[in-house]
Amino acid sequence: MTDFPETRSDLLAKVRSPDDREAWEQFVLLYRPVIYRMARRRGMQDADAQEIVQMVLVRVAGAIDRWEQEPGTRFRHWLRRVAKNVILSALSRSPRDAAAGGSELQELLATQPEVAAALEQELDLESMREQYLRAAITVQKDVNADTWRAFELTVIAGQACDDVATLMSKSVGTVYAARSRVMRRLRDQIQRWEESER
Amino acid sequence: MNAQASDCNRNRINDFLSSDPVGFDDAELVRHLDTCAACRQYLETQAAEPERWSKATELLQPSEFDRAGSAECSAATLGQEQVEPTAAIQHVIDSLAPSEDPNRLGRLGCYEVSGIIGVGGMGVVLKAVDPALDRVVAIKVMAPHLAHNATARKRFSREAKAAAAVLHPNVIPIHCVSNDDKNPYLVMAYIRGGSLQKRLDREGPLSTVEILRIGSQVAAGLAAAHDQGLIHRDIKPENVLLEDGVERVTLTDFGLARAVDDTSVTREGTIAGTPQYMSPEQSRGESIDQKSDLFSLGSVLYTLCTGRPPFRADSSYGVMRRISDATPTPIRELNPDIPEWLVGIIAKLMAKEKSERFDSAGEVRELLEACLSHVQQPTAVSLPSQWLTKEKPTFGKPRELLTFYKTIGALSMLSLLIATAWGLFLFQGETQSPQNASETKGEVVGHGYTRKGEFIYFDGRRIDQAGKEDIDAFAKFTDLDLTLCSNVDAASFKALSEEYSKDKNKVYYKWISPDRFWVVELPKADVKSFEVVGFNFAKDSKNVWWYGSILPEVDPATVEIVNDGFVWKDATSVWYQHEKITNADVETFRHLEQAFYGDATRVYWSSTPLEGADPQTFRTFGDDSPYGADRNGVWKGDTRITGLDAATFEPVHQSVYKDKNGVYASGYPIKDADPKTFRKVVNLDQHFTALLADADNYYIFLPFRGEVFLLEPTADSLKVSRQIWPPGTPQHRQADFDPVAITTAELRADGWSKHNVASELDGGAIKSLKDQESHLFTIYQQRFTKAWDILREGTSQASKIEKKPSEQVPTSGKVAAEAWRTDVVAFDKFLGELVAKGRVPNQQALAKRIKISPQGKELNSEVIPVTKGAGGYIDLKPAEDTVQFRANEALKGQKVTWEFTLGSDVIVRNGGIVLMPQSITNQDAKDTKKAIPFLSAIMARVTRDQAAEMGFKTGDRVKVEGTIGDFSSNKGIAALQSPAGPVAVYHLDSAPHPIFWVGLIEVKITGPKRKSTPLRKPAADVAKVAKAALRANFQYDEQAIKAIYTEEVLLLPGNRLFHFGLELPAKMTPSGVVVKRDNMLPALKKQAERDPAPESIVALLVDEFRIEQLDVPAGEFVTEPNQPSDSLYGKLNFTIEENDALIKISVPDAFRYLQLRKVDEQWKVVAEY
Repeated sequence: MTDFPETRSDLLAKVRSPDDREAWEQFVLLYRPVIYRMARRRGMQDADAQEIVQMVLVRVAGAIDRWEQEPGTRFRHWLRRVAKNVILSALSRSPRDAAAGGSELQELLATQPEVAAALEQELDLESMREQYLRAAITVQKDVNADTWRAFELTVIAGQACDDVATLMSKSVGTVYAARSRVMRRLRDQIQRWEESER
Repeated sequence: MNAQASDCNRNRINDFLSSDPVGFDDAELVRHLDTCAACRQYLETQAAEPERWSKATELLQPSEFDRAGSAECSAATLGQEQVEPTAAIQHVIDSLAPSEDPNRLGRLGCYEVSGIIGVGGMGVVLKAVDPALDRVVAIKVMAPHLAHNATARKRFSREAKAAAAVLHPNVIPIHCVSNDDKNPYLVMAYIRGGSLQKRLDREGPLSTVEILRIGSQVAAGLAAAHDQGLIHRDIKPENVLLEDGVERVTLTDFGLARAVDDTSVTREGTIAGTPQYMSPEQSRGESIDQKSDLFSLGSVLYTLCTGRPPFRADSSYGVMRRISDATPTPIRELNPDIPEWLVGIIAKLMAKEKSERFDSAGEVRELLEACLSHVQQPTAVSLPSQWLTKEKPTFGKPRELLTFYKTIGALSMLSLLIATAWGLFLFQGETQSPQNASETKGEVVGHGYTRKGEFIYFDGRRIDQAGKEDIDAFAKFTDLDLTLCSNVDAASFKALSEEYSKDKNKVYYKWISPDRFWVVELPKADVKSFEVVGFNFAKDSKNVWWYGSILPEVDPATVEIVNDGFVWKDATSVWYQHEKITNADVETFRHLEQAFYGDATRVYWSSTPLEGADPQTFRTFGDDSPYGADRNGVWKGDTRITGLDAATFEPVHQSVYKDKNGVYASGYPIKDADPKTFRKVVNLDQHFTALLADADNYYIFLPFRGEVFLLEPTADSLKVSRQIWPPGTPQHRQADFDPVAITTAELRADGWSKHNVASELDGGAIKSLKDQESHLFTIYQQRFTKAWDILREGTSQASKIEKKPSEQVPTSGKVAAEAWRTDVVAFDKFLGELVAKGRVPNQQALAKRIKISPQGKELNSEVIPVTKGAGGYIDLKPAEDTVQFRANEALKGQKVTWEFTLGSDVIVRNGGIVLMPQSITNQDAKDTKKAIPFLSAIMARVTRDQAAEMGFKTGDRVKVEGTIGDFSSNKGIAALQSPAGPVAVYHLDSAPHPIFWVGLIEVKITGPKRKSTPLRKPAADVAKVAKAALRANFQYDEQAIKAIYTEEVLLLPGNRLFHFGLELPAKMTPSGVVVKRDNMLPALKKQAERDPAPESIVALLVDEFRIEQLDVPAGEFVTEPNQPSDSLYGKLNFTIEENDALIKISVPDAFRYLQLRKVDEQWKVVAEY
């Protein structure tokens, strides 16, 4: 449905219009924490990581004008591709003015030509993680606390269903039922996003 | 199974899953699931695909840095955050009189309150209706806790009345001020819309037009208020309102910040609210004037440009420090769309020195309006100040064609290498362009100046020419009367400091910006008596000079520097920069440490006297520590900390300190720690993570929020634990209080386990704590491991550590000072090497010139001249703990030699070797104290030829010889890449850790050679075939390739063709892929098309290659590790048959192997790497 030309230009208008930038906002929502985590994992301090995030977003936003010139590309896809490039180049470049001493110099030298493929993989994984995390937040709000807890303890913390049932003073069936329900919702949520990304 | 089977109902399961979990509960199904494994499984596969289940498990793990961005994870703030504002609102609402209208919240005075707009630091803003005029108003009600404070009340009403007097379209109209009720309040116009902050949050950085539009209106509002003698004091995006539908900006909260000044600092010494937009003078607590608002306006504009405030740190204290010391990240790095001139305007607004800012808000308004007209009509209106648009000069480096093609040639010839190496090669080709030897070198004058004939040069430019084109604009910008120097007498020219210089006739001052400079005359200076006495500080017989201007009032005859860059005094007064410190006792005024000063009667933090501090017994704890104490009180900066035994107070490390009663981390007790023996053992990294200990236990300090964990090593794990204290617990007392939670975990070889939080807190709080802790564990796992390693290494290592006790001797600060001294002396030795080469002063002269004064902020904020004649200097800048040694142009070509013994093995990687701190020891050190490494790192990008010979082991003697190359103004690790050739990094191992580096070229590193494969000149026919292969590849001579290569060629890993090989019909072998020659041709052709070698230089190129034969016997031959040092593969395997020839073809930066075999009396290539 969204492939009709008018919808596409509508979407672009949305991005350009300062008041309604849903697509953009969704994008920012997803990528902000992703970039942040990746930056932090590279040893950056909180403030520096925030800065990288900011830099990436500003650059991507600055590139939005160019989108029009690529006919046949969906905005979301385009956005993701541009973002990917910007993130990869931002993160594979060594931090500016980093204190270069002792073991850190060594580490940096060791990781300098970070293999782009690995970085890209990490980016994909982190984006997926973010989708799962966001979905989890939504689902957690929708279900009651015990249902969520059953899911959390068995699926996330990896405890056995029997143990969790004892712990929560519930029947094993309840635990199975609860965690499956949560999982289904989680899946539906994520699938919806994935479809919209397609 | 059978009994249950009857109950198995798949539809039911499907219904269950697609139903709303809240509204539908199938009890029967749930019961069935208790026992039926088949249905459980069906249920789960229906719920989601197995991958989803496993992804959920994997991805929803509490992961590192999930929470780091959300600031509040510390125990001290647990649950507190949300409570307070609500309490404040509740308080205000409770105090309202009941309203007759049930839809209203209540009544305040005559106003009917209908809602709450917001909560701020000083009160609550209500929305209300003024029934008399039937208009909507906003009422700011003073927070109850402030309303009890008489001073605050008085100020509130005074300032509010003054603000009400400002009538301007860009200032919020104040209708009424009431001080009669128990809650003072003021009534303002209600603006429909949102704050600038909300807009920033929503949309990020704004466009240039918007920035100018908003900026000029804020400036206009400010100008109106400044005319009334008001200072806003709290210009920030939250206080700028954007009216809906109208392009009008309204400034709110005028003058009100002042009302809360006294109370905004909480008991714990933290600043309530955000100091992010404060001016430097404000953040230092000095008196402020209207120009402080201009700085804040600059910060707001910066934020609009970049989407984030200019100064950020994890704490308010940190922000304030940065405001006064640091330079924010250049705007255009964050948002390149912002024009240079706007960056210039913001920089001037944000000048640290208020005298360097614009004169008035009115001027700023005019300028921004003019800029706005320009942006909106660029062709019709020009920018107000032409200098702002000047492009920076750029210099391109010529690169020599042949050098370049040699490398390219090497690449395309054998179509080699992976992408990363490509970059490296091209990079080297570009930067290793030979120095222009014919260039005349000048004579070193010092401080970067060079004399060439009748002229003086700096940074390669004649000082009387540099900046000629825009000196007038620059003068206008600085608002000073500046005249570029002329008729400089080169013969008598003397550089007094980096800034000041003179010849026999005149005195000069150099203004420097990052990429340009202007040397101006100081006509009022007296040449004869002019001398430099401090950083940017000079005097002559009549005046005292600072930053090229006269400091009025200061008497040159008696002036004396108390703390260079900050405080000086003469016979009658003491100044903190421009500000006179009132009532200071001149005679006895002195600098203690950090920002502490003292005189006979008082102690000061910067220029603020510490109330009640006794100057006789006041102790400070080194230049890194903001703590000070006398017998009765302890201060952190100018804030007094209560509850400690002052007489025995002693900082241990960062926010960890102790007194006779206990040890405290960020104010909370570390229970059971023994204050008598508690000390720092060793730093675990450069970011303040440290191993601490008392007589019985080890602890680790994490700089995240100053957490301290107890460490208990067991046979195969490290147990860690810490106590978490409830918010609001009286600090600094141990008795009677118990931690609210204890968190424990175990680190094993395979990671963390048994993470537990024991607490009576409710589940949510525990979970949040646990998340917070696992976050810490993840991000600091390496440091924990390091600490564990140290503890495990046992007594030998431990005793070595014990020898270095934390000598936090009060009033000494000697630990850092001594380290600095030792290292500088060592560095001096290096300079001595330069001395020996002539042209530079001898060692004695050098020693005299090295000014080691790690006093207070000097260490972090100044340019310390190291050598006079050598022309190098060490450039120390705040917040960039990098020090560079810039080699003067005239030193280019100087030979430098180091010889040292390796303290550990050497890494060969990334196109060079890296000698790390542990690896270099001072050869001449006789006593062990001096045996500490003095050269921290040499990162040497050496040629592969050289790298191939390196395999240095501990104890080897290594000699590094090189020539000083171009100086570079780059900094940091990124810069290490850019000087051509190796870089010597000098590292001072105390925090902050400055680094000296100097770019060297033509470096030769020699030492024992580990490589043993001899090379020899190949037989003529072999060489001929190799050359032919080379040429065939250059020209993509298909016939020749077919003739020279065997039908099947073995390609080894690392060869780019190897990867093509994987896609072609090929045979995998343990050492590579075997590809049919003819299958390989298309790939080669493609590459030849991509990088065609210029026909004319092919012959030349082919001759450039060195062709050698490796002397290897038949059998398996494995190249030594790192021989192709940049390849992904450490070693290559060749299977050598009888009579095979293994040929190495090389140019200085690259080499390849060809394996030749005689087939039908013809040499053919059977394998290549």
